[in-house]
Amino acid sequence: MDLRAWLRRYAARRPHVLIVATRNGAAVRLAVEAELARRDWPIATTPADTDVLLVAGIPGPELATMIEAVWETVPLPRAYATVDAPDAVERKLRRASADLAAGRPSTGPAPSAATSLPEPLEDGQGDKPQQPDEDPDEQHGEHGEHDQHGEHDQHGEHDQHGGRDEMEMPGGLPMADLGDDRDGLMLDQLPVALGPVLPDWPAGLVLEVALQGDVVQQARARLVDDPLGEPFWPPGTSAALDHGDSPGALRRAVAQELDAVARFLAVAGWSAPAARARRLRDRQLAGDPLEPICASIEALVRQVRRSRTLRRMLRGLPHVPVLFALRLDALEHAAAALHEPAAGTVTPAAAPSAMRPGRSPRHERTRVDLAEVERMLVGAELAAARLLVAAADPVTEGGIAGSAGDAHAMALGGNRAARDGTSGSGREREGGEHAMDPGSESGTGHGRGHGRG
Amino acid sequence: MDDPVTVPPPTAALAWWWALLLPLVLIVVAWSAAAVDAAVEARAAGRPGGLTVPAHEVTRLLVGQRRRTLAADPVLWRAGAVVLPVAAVLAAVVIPLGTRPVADLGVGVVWFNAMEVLAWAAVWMAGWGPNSVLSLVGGYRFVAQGLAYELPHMFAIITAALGAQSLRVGDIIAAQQDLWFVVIMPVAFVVFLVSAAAMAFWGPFDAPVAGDLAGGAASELSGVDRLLFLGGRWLLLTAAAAMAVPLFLGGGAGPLLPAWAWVLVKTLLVLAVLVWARRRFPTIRMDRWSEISWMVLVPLTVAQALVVSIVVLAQGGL
Amino acid sequence: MSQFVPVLIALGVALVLVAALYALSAVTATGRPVSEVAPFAGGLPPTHHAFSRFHVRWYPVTMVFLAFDMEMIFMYPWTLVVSRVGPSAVIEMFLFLGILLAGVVYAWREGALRWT
Repeated sequence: MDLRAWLRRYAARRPHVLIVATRNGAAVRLAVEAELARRDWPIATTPADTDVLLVAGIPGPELATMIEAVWETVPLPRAYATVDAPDAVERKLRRASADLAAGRPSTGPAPSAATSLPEPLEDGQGDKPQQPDEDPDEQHGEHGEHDQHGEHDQHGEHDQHGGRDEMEMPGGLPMADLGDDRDGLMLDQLPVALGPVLPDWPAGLVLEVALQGDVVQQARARLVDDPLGEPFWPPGTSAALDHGDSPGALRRAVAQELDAVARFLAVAGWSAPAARARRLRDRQLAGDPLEPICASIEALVRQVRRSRTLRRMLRGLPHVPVLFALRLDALEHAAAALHEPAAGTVTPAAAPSAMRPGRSPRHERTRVDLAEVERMLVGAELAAARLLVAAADPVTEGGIAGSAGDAHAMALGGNRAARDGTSGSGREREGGEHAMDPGSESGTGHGRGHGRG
Repeated sequence: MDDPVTVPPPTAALAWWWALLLPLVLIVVAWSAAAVDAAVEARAAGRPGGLTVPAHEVTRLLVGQRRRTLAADPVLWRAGAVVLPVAAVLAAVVIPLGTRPVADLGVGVVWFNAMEVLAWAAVWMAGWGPNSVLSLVGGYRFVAQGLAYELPHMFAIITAALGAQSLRVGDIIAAQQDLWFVVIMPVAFVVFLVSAAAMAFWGPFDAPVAGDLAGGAASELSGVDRLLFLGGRWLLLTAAAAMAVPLFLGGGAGPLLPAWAWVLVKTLLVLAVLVWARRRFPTIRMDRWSEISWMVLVPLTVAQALVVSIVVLAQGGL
Repeated sequence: MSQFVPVLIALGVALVLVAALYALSAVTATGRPVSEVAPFAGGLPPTHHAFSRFHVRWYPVTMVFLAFDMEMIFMYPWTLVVSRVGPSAVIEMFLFLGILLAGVVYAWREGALRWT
């Protein structure tokens, strides 16, 4: 008993934290990541490896349901924390660690109004073992809810495919069913909902995909219904960069690009420069002196551009090389604009793609919208799909605010809307349109020439 | 590790009770490597410490609750986690800890290879077991990875065996008394290091457990199961690094220090290279690497084997 | 066969250590093992079993691999007799390998080694 308490205290000094970022929680997420890096607490990638489940921001009812489901799967000992303001991060983390050390039961997320669970969740009993036989009940509780809106739909869907649903499957789940493959084969097609709690994933994004093996056959992207706060990132197409707005906004713009690049590098499995980009981002937001940061950003961009391995891994992936080159360019521009505020449109020598007259950073700092991402994902492997989402970096916070008033972006959006008119599917288009930059690599591109002024 | 005062014949094995100590030796070396790795990472991030990270990790996994997913395949799943460390220990029995190995097998090289290949099954089983999509994709990624790394790996090992014309690890060391094999077969050495990393799904070859799959094959493991899987991965990496020493780096040969110390130093150096490579390169996916592996590494290693066999013939003729 | 005795001992020790670790964790773990946990894919519960016929797009590579794997069975004993048999051993083995490599080049040209 004593041994267990001692071990628990020792383990609680370095817990793994799973961050659930809400769509209004960018500021909190950044504060959490900075604090975790300072404390050397790893960010968990999966509930199985989680000690602290931390919700950054205010989740809407839909996300709250998902958080409950994730919390169900986090093994003991575990702690739950919600942080809705950046300045509360330190306190909450300290408390979570103390709770873990003391073995205090964590209450977990309160059942939200949207879920009509028949019984209150009773987990997080700390030391008290979670009974193996009581657990199925909990699960049934969860599944009861499921039955109401999930299973019937599936059965219906199933019948169309050829009805193997007569068989009683373990766990009450059907098996994957046959479907046409991109190569013209009939293979098992597995519907999977990816996100919103994946590591290095846009906040609140849910990607419903049909997988055959690890190839995405269909994709549908949507956002969870978090209440939207004031967007943290400067809107992608604002005039801030051109009109010499507050250095704070410029700093944020650089930090946003650093965040996107770090995320992409992390998804590409290159943790060292990803960590470096995150450190630079945190220093940027903390208001450290500009000179060394900008020099480091330049060095980082150079290192990433120079990597032949990375280039080789990205070459030929649909859209990814172009989008990532765009991200790097955008980072460089934003840093240059910050560094020499009077010369927002002066391009640094290291970015040959920006030599064209009339290009300004505001075009680079724009993002791909979800309908576009959805379309690009079809036929990609899971690894490529993750890279694509990271490189596209769709804006998921702040509703429609991203797009207003950029004629260039609007024109691009219009072009594309005409082409993929059917894929819009009535969801809110984030508006923050992207400007394809021919950049250093052109990729396969599928004939996507737009943006080449 | 007592260094024998009299040099034993190179074919003798250590006393039987060394078999009891072998897993502990392997764990200690892997633990130190993990600690140094964490310390290097902490330094890069401008933090102090890092040396206690393995202790924290092991502790939290020991305290952690085990779990089983919905409609999982527990037999394969648990077997996957258990096989990894056991295979690493079994692979290490033929590695001389100094001048003599724990088990002096006449087919030592083949044995080492056979035990390593168990990792192939282990990772796939761990990926298949939990009935989870991300985990399943991770497991299959490792199968594809095996198809790419295994052949160059086998050619590299066989080239060392060819140089000594023996499958006994002790004979391979003895054949390097004048010249380390790394000098006459540099390609095989480099390929061995690359494939060792791939086998331990380490460094740039970590796609099977990568973050883009939320941990891939390991994503549903918690508690002691996770400890066995991830610890087994470290042990496997250590065993592979240690095997590079007798195959290419002259075993315990070296001035001043006793043989066991040289084996340790060389093993740690090889481990340092592998740990460095992880920080240096982004994840290498097999849909790209297969082509390089088959069209570049396999011909290169075959050419290397040809060169070595001609050298062997020339030596035999002298 | 006696040379395998230490191997068996090492296997036994490894298994005992694994068992000891499980036993230790049974004491130290917080809570007994839970079962029927929903697998993780990002927060939403699964709607289907993940066990499925996986689209193995690298299947042709496995075929090429098997050919080479068989070849390895010949190559291990071959290493022992190279100088005893002399140049003919080397010529025969590398002719054989050359034929296999020609097969690899053919497979490569057919696109078997790329699957994206």
